[in-house]
Amino acid sequence: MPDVLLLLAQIAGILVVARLVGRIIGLFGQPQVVGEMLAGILLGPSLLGWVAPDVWLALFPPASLGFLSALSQIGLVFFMFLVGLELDPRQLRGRGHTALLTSHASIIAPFLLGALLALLLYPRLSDDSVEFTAFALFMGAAMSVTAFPVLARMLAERGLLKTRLGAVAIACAAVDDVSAWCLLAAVAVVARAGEAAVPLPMMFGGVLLYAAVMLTAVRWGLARLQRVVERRGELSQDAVAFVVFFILASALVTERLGIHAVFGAFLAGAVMPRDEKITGALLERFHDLMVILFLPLFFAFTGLRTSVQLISGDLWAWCAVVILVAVAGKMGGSAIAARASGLSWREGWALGTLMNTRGLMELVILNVGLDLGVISPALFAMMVLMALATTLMTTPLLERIYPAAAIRD
Amino acid sequence: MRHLLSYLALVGIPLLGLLGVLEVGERLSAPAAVHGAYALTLPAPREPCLAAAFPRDDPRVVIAQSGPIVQVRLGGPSGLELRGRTDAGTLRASGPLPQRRPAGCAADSVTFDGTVTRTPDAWLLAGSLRLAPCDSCAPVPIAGVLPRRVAGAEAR
Repeated sequence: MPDVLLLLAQIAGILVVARLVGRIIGLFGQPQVVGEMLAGILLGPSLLGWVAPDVWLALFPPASLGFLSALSQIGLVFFMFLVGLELDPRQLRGRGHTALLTSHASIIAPFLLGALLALLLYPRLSDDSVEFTAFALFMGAAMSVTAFPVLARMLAERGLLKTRLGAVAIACAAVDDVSAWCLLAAVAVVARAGEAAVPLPMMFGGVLLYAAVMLTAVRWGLARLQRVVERRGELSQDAVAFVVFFILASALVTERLGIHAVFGAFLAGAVMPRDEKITGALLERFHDLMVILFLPLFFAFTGLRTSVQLISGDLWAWCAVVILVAVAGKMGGSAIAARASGLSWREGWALGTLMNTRGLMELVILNVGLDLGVISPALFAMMVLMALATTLMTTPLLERIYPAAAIRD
Repeated sequence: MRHLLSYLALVGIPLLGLLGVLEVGERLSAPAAVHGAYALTLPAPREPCLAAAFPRDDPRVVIAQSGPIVQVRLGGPSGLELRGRTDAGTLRASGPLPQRRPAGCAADSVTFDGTVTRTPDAWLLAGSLRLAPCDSCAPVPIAGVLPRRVAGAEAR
């Protein structure tokens, strides 16, 4: 039985610290999400557990973490549904060669660098229970991810959405998002193949079949929901209950297929009818609860799993290399590809800076990797620091590369 | 044509490079896995210094591994945390004893030496804990088992 008092105290404590750190970091021009990521690390063994171990153990005793983990996983499932829901294929139309080349290059360049880095890190930070292919593909996927929601918010805040740069950035980030989740699903299949009861090709087949059914038959069936909403003029509570059931069922299927529940939730969001009334109503009902309650819980749970103390001695040098490779691959790859497809160098570097924002998406990928056992605790801690560093550097770098005056011009 | 060439240069070539990396990487070897939560198979010792390491509610040895670096935890988060290295299935890790030590405990640190033997059914941990400074203390034997179905797959 959960200790309800303790659980409530944990949730309350996490929310207060997350909002507080978010506010403080906001004073430096950083988005709230950066503060919440930081708050998670502050509450974990890296700071609170190190400075005041007795307080930390009293607030987060190991036996209680299962409930916090369950809440954060449920939040993550619904968050991934929203990510899928906000994915709009229309953003890709009419972008032509620029978006195609830039988005593909902005994935493959960091992916290749991530895989090259895996050659160096595999003997140092992994073990023989993990296949090199799974490790390298994971490192590649983790290096190529972009935080689409953070990027979209930054573009809107800076008035860049209607510019050529903004349009290409949105299109690239959308392609990156889908690609990263597909790649991660492939990694999950490879990583779990050894322990699964079914052979690898069958696992791949099952995942592909499920995706195909969702994208065709289920999407067609969901079109009925759109007709019901049109007839009634609103999304009823029954309809929302059905959507919640649908999300959970899809998450359950992908978990049973041997990959992670988040993929099913993402797919459920991606196949929802693209009707403004439906997406708007769902976003309105889920969004605040997600941002205010569940995401801080997820950040806190990530922080509780992150032990910076595991990075010691020469591992700090490797941590710096990880950050360097992440920045060089994503920022450099995007900038060069953007220049090759006709954007100016300034626009290219601005695009690279935006694409380099890892944010929350990176933490989702890293948690999946740790759950699957593909990455070790020390590498997890390094990658969390990388996610934090790349997200933190975006605003000041963008201000330098593409200041407000340049946007007006 | 220019776009096609750019695409080949910026996407095609790195893709080939990736295939090469995966090919080369298959020849690499990583340290033997030893991580997991081992259930203790020996009765708890009576040594007062090690009371925190063998509580009744958490009789496990949890090994977290990052490459050759290991973190050995006895008695849960409020117990003992030892850090060290592993090489080909052998482990050596050491750490301080808790500052609030029970009466009769003169030692201030502990070292664990052990091996993990991987059999088809389970991973077996065997080793001993040595207290220091304590010339009269005998090594305390440790043994644990990790069933095969969780070995390797278990979250670290």
